[in-house]
Amino acid sequence: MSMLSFERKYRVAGGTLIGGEMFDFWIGPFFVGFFGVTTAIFATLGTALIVYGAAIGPTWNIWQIDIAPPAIEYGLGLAPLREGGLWQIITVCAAGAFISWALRQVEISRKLGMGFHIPIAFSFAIFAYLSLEVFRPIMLGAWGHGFPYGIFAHLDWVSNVGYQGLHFHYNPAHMLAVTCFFGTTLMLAMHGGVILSAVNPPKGEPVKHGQHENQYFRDTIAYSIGPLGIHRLGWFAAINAGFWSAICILISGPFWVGGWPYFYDWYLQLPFWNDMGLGGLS
Amino acid sequence: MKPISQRPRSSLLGIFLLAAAAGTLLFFLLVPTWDHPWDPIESRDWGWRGIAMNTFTSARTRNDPINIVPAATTPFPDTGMSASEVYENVKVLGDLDSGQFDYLMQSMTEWVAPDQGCGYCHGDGGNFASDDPYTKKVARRMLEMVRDINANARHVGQTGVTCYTCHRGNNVPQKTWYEGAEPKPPMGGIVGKPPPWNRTAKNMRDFFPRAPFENYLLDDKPISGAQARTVSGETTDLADLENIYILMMQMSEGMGVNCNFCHNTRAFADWSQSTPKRINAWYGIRMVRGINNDYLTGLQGLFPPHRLGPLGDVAKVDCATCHNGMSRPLGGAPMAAGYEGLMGPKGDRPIRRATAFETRKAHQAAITEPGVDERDVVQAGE
Amino acid sequence: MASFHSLYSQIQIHGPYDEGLPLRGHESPRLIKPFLNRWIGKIGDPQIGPTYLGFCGIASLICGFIAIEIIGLNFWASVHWNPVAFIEGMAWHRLDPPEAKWGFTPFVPLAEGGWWIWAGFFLTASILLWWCRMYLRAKALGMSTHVAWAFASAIFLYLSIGFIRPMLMGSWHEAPPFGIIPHLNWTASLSVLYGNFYYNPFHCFSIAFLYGSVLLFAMHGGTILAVSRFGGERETEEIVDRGTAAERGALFWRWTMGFNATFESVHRWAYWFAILTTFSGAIGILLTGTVVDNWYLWGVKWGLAPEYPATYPDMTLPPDIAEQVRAITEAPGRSTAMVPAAPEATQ
Repeated sequence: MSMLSFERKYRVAGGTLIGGEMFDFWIGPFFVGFFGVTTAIFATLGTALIVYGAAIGPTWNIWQIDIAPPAIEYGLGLAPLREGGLWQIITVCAAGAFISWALRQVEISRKLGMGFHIPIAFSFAIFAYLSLEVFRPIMLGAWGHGFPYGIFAHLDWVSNVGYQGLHFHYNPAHMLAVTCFFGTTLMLAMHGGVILSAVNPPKGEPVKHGQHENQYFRDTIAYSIGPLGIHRLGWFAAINAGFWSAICILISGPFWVGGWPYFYDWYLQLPFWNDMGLGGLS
Repeated sequence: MKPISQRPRSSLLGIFLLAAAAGTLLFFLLVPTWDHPWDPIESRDWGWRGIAMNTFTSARTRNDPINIVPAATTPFPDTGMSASEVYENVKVLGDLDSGQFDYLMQSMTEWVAPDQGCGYCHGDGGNFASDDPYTKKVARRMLEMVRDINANARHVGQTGVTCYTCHRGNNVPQKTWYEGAEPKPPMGGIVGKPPPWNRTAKNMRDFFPRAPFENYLLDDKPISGAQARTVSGETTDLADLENIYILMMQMSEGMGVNCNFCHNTRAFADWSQSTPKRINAWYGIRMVRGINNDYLTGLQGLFPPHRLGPLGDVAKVDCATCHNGMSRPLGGAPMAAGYEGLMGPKGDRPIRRATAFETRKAHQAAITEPGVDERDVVQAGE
Repeated sequence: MASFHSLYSQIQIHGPYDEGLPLRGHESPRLIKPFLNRWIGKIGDPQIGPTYLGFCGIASLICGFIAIEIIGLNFWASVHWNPVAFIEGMAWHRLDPPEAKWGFTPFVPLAEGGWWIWAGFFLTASILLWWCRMYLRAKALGMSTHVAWAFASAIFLYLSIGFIRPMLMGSWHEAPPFGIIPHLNWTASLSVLYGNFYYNPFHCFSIAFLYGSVLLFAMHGGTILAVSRFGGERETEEIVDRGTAAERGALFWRWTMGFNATFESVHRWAYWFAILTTFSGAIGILLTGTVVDNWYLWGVKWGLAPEYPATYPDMTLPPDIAEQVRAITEAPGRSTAMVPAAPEATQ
């Protein structure tokens, strides 16, 4: 069997949201559940449609495959399959698969008597995906604003959407999101590093525990957030990275059509600067 | 720390932090200008579907009052006599029919000095032939400029320009630029080389350095060196590139578009991935250089000090001066139609009246560039 | 009834301070009388301090202070010492590297980029000394030095951007200025100059590892919080003596995605994703302008760039534009990939 040595006692019935006992079983290591079935259906269909889209496209080069959304002229309607309709169905499948996955994570959490922090975090990522492919296109009035499914094609989309704002670094929510991204990575390196350094000590040293972890960070940066705190902080920072990314793309276009540098006219017009001796051009 | 029974029920720090967070959120929601997707955001597509070569307009950008097209006026009937036969000291428009001449003069008053009337250029003494007011001499030169543009500038095509295109009913166009003084470093230059930002500016357009305009719309430094070696043959200085970047941003904002109007940003330099607008912009840059160098800088000696910049230079133009936030000034309304006096003699360079728009695929043409976009044009009185 | 114990601490223990482990060897005594803060205690450990400052730490702080002073005073001087302008323009102040004409010589007049070189020197010294601190403190506590080596990866990226690549290009001017907005302007300019960084494969790797790191911390942080009711945050104990927290955490992922890490190996996933973010980013920076001039064209050459149907198939360049383009691209060594086919003579 594909069970871990301690797994059998945890494989109990219960925790499902829908379907009761009907789908409450495992296939290999995978828990199925009602949402496992829906995930499998959506994911298989979506993947097959991507492959089909590649087949009717000009290339099988993995880097160049491009399943593009409909042209803007189709607005929020359905487009013919070859003119972007495929993209629309794939997007529905993706959303369905992601939401099913999150709900399956809820079922597994319930079965294991765990908290729901994982599906909650994943929901923010799903929110970011839906913001890009659903909410922002709806606010702009056309499905054609979503990003295409293609490795370098989607990067061409990112580049052009960035330049829609002329200089996307000036987007304030983008600044916040990037800070959260880099900060999360920094803290991950620190946390991963300290745990590994504690349980893999130099030759002849005993394994270290919480007291040493705390001591390391108190000695180096004057504060140790502690074993529970770092996971709160990391979870919170990672969620914020995804959340503010979603916000930054939702406001870019629907709530500001100009270049992001030009958004800051209000800053220059704040009354308290009042030319207090600010040198101008002369 | 006091025991829990002696502490206040609510934490002061907690309330303060919550208020600060709420205040920040409210500030960001209320103070800056935002667009709203429910006053619809109109989007247009300039490239293949899905790669997001889009430009947008919002209610804010569509409803700028400066872009209201004035009500059409009725031309005066021809008199059969030339302007030189009727009036004295007519240097540029002498051969024009005097009925046309009067119509043009009346229109110019509306376009440039609606509050001051004829006296703005002709003085209040009644001697219309006098060249004493500086405004008259400036206007004469500007007439030559407009006639040159309409006859020879490929950028302007069939649409044509009038004084209104820049002036919009103001004595001085709203969006112009002056040269920037080289900022003086403090302490004799040992420390603190000042950046060229304009710190007293009240909007970002004026805040950005003037070097991009000076280098590329007054001087003719090449913009084509913006991508390194393999493409352009040299490595462009990063500082020059920053200026080119700012120039492109100012151009984009001045026309209410973004980089995708002309470029596919994965390959800025690649003409085969650019739109026909880029061709038009290429000519536009050269037209602006021509206007600034051949016409405007020569007028410096005529202007009184309050019309000059901090270095004593005359106000110059960039894309925003005519476009005022629309991709076609006044929505492409053919303002110059019916003004024979605004068409000058053709220059000796070959003329292409038409733009490149007719080369696009038919269905793109139908949706992206109708003759005049009804949504962009709001007649006065509506 | 919901309990939010995993999200914030509703009960804090405020008792005698944790004085810390005894120092080994010849180090100085610890600093800061420790104190407890209730608000920080809601999120993490309420104790702040004591800390340690040895030779490396003190030297690092001094160098860092000098760097910050050089940068900050240059900022302030650039607005003629006006305090309001200093604050108002905080996002916009800049301290630029020397211009291209100075090449890579360190002997540049102060006002023409010399200050940038000094600030960079002291900042680098500060960072390297801080690295020594991270390394030595681990050793002093009998731990391994993983954190220091992760930090080294980040330092490698920092040095690549600010020192190594400028050295390879022979020009300080290629390095970013100090300044909040100015360094962002530099980032955008670099991407335009070298042909769109999205096509730089090491940029792709770096982003994949960056997003992967954030994904991993969301997963790992979420897992630990979800099993905190079983004491899952006591990770080192769970590593050497697996308890139900580790078992449930592992099984969650096994049942979700078919495979799982252990309490130790998840930290290896985390550690390497974070390290590889900066490491692959550094490689991508070092290759830019030195080996590859235009990443988009590199992508075209290696079959990465999708070809889109022409939106304007009839667009031809007018003669004057075509002539300018031809002059640039037909010069020796240039790429001809940036222009459409030269048009026949048009009127």
